[in-house]
Amino acid sequence: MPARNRWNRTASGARTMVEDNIRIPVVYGDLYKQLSDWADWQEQLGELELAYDVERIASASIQPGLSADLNVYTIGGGTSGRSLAIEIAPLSPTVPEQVAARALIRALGSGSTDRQRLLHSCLVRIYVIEFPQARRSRGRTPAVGDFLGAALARSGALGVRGFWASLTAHFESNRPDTLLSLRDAGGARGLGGQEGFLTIMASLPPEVLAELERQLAAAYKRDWPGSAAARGYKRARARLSRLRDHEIARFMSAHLRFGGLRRRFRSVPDKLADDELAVGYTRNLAELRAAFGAGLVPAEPGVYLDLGGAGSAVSSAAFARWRLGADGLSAFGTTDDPARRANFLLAASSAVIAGAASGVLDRP
Amino acid sequence: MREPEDFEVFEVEEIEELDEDLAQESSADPAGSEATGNGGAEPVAEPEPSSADLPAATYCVAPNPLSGGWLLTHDRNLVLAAMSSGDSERGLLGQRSELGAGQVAELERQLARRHSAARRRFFGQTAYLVLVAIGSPFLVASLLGALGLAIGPLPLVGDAVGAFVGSAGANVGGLPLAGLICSVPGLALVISQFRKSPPLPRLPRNPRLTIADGGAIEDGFLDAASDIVSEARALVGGRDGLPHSDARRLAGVLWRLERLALEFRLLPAAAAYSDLAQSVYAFSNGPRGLGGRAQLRLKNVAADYDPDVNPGGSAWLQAIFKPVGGIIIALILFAMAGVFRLADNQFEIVRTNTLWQPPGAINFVDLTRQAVTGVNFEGSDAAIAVTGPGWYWAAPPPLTRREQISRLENSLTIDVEIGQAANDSVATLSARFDYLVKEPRAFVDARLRYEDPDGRVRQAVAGLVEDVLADEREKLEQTADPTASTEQLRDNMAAILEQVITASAGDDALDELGVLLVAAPEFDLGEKPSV
Repeated sequence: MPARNRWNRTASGARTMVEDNIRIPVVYGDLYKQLSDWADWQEQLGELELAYDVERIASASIQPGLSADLNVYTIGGGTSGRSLAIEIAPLSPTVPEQVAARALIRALGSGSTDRQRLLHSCLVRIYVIEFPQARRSRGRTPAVGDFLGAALARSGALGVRGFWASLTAHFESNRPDTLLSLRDAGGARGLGGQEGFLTIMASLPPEVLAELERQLAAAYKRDWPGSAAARGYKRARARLSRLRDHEIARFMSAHLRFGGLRRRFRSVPDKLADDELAVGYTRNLAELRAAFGAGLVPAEPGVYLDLGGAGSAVSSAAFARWRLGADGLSAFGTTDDPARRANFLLAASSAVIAGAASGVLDRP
Repeated sequence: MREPEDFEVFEVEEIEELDEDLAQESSADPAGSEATGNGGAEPVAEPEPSSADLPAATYCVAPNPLSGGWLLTHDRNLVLAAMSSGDSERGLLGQRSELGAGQVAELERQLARRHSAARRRFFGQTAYLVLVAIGSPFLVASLLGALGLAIGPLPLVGDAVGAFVGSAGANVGGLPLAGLICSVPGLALVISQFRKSPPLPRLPRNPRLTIADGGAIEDGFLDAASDIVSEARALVGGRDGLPHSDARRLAGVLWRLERLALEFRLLPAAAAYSDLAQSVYAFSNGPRGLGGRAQLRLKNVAADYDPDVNPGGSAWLQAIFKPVGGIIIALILFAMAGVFRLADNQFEIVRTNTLWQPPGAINFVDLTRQAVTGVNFEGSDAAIAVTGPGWYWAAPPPLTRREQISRLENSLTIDVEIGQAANDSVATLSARFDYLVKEPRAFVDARLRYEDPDGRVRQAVAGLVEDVLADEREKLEQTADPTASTEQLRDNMAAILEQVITASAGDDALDELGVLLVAAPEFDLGEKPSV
C-alpha cells in the first residue's frame, strides 16, 4: 500500500492510521480528579518531562493574591509549514476546560507514543490560561438560556482585554493555519443530552444561504424528527458539498461522531450504542430556527457552519478566520456530565489534529 | 447532572462581579490589566483598524488576479445587507481614475439587476411548475395512449393489457385517469413552490449613494500582492475558461491573496478574494464529464466585482427560457405520441374523440411519402383507416382515439349447437377461425355502426356456420338415416368447416363487416345435456 494512503481517511469513514495514533485517551474517574487539581498537575508535569516549549505571553491580576497566566505550549516540528493553534483560554476556565487542556498537553507531550512522530510535520500551539496561585480550580457560571445561542454567547468570547490583545497579537505574529477553541458550554437548556458540537467559521454567498435556508426549512417541515433531520442533512450536503468548509465539516463529523470509539458511520445518529458520542445535531424545525437564530447552519451531524461574525472578530475562531484567513473552529461541550464534556473537547481536538496531520485541512 | 466540584470555588454572583470589575478596569485603562510582572511577554496593544470611520459596506479597489485590471472588491453579504436596508453610506478605498464612485454605483445597479433577474427566474419557475401541473395530465394521457398501442401486440402483454394501459389516452374519458395519476406530483410541485419565498430581497434599482473616500491602500500590499497576482494571471494565461485541475490550483492562489489582504487589514478585498476562491474551488470539486461543466468561465466568477462585466444577459430572456423550453419539450413529446409505424399487413383506425371533433381532427400525415391526407366528416363520430406500410402521424390521444389492427392475424371463436345427439344430449361445436380484414373501410364502418363490432363478426360467422350445417343436415337426411345425421355431421366436421371458409367469400354479412375467413385450424366437438 502506498504510504500516502495510510494517512488519508477512507471513504466509508473507517479508522485510519492517523486517527489511531492521534486518539487522545479519555479522562474519567481518578484521572479526571488528578487533572483537575493544580498541585497534582504540577507534579505530573514534573514527572512527565513533556517535550514542550512553554511561553508565558501575558499575566493579569484577577484579585488580590490571585493572578492568571496566559501560557502557550508549543510542540511539533512544523516541517511541512502547517501550524495548528488550540485555544483553551476563556477568562474563567471551568474544570472540564482545564482538564481537557491538561489531558491534551499530557497526551501530545508524552514521548512514549507515536503522536510526536505524527506531529513532526505539524506545529501545535496550545493556549491555556492557568492560575498558579490558586489551590483549586476556578469555576464559571453555566451557560444560561436555551439551545445553541446560549452556548455560543456564554462560551464564545474572551473577557479580559489584556489577555485578548495578547492572544490575538500572538496569533497575528505566528499566523496559524487552523485554530480550534475549546469551550465548556454545559448548562444550556436543550443541549444536556448531547455531548457537544463543533462550529466552523464560514461565509456563504447570499444566494446560497437564502436557498439553503429555504431548502432546510422545507425539509424540516411537518415530518417526524429523525426523518426530517436526515432529509435536512441530505439537502445541506447536496447544496454545500462542493465547498471546502463543508469538506472539513464532513471530515470532522465522521471523526467526532464516535471519537476514539467510532465503529460505523450513519448520516444521522438516530440510535446510539453505549460507547458512541451523541453529538449535537438539529432534530426538528424549532431547533433549526434556533440554529439559524444563532447564526449557525447545520452542515453535518455534530458540525455547524458559523456565519456569525463575518468581517468581525468576536471570538478567537472568528479572529482566526476573518483577521488571519485561517480556518477557525470552535468545539462546545454541552452534556450535563463535566467529565464527558471534557472528553468531548478532547475528541474534538483529536479530530482536528487528525485533520491537520492528514492534510485534510490543507488548502490547495 | 452537573457535579458540585465544577463550580465550587466561586459563586455565580461572585464571578459575574469579578468579570464586570475586570471589564471596567480594562476599559478605563487598556494597559492596566496586562502583564507587569512575572517575567511574562509584554502584551501587544490591540491594533486600531485602518478604516475605522468607513461604513461597513466599503469597497476596495484591488488587483484583479484573473485578468489584467482592477476589481471593486467588497463583502457581498455586507453590501447586500446595506442595499436591502436602504443604507446609502458606502466607503471606497484605493480609488483610481478608472474606478471611482461612478463605478460603485454602476456595480450596485448591476447587482440589483442580477438579483432582480434571480427573482424573475423564481417567478418564471413558479409559472412553469403551474403549467406543468396543468399540462402533465394531457401529456401522460397521450403517452399512455401511445404506450398502449405499442405494447398491445407484444405476446407477453396482450391486447387486454395494452387496451387497459392505452385507455387513459384512448378517449377523452381516460383523461381524468391521467389527471388522477398526475394530480399528486403536480400538486406537490406547485405547493412546495408556493411555500418558498423569493430567493433574495428586492433591491433598489438606482440607489443614491454617499461614498466616503477612504484614501489610498498601502503600497506594501500592492507590492506584496504583485507576485501572487502574477502567479494567478500566469495560471489563467489569458484564457476565458479554466479546467478543473487549474481551477483547484487557482483557488489556492486566491486564498493566499486573501490572507495577504487580511495582513494589511483590507477586509473588503479579503472577503472578495475568499469569495472568488470559494467559487473556483467549488467548481474544481464539481462533476466532470456528463452533467458537469468542462470549464470554469472566469468572466462569470468575477462578475460581482467588475462593473465592466455583465454576464447575466437579458433577465427576461433568462426568466422565460426555462418555462418556454420546458413547454416546447412537452409539446414535442406530446406530438411525438402521434407518430406510428404500420407494417405491410397492418392498418390503424383513427377516430375522433367523444367530446371534441374540430374539422381536420382525424387528418393524418404520411411521413414516408410526405403527404397530408385531409378527412372530411360529419357528425360526432367519425373514423378513418390508415393502411400500411409506412410511418404516419395523426393527432395524438386524447385528441383522437386510435386502434391498431392487423389485417391477417385475427381470430375468433364461435360456439354453435349441431343438433340432437344419440344419447339425448345436444351436440356442440366450438371452432376457432382465422380471418383477415378484406376491406378496411368496411371494417371501420362496422366499428362505427355497431356497439360491439367483434361480437357482430362472431355472430355473422356463427350464422354462416349454422347455414352450412343446415345445408349439410338436409343433404344427409335426403341420402341417409335421418336419425344418424348429427353423428355424421360430427364425423364430417373438418370438411364442413372447409365449406364454411369457402362460403365466407360470398357472404353478405361478412362482406358488410369487411371480413374474410381464411382457416379453421382448431375445433372441438362436445355435448351438453338437453334442457
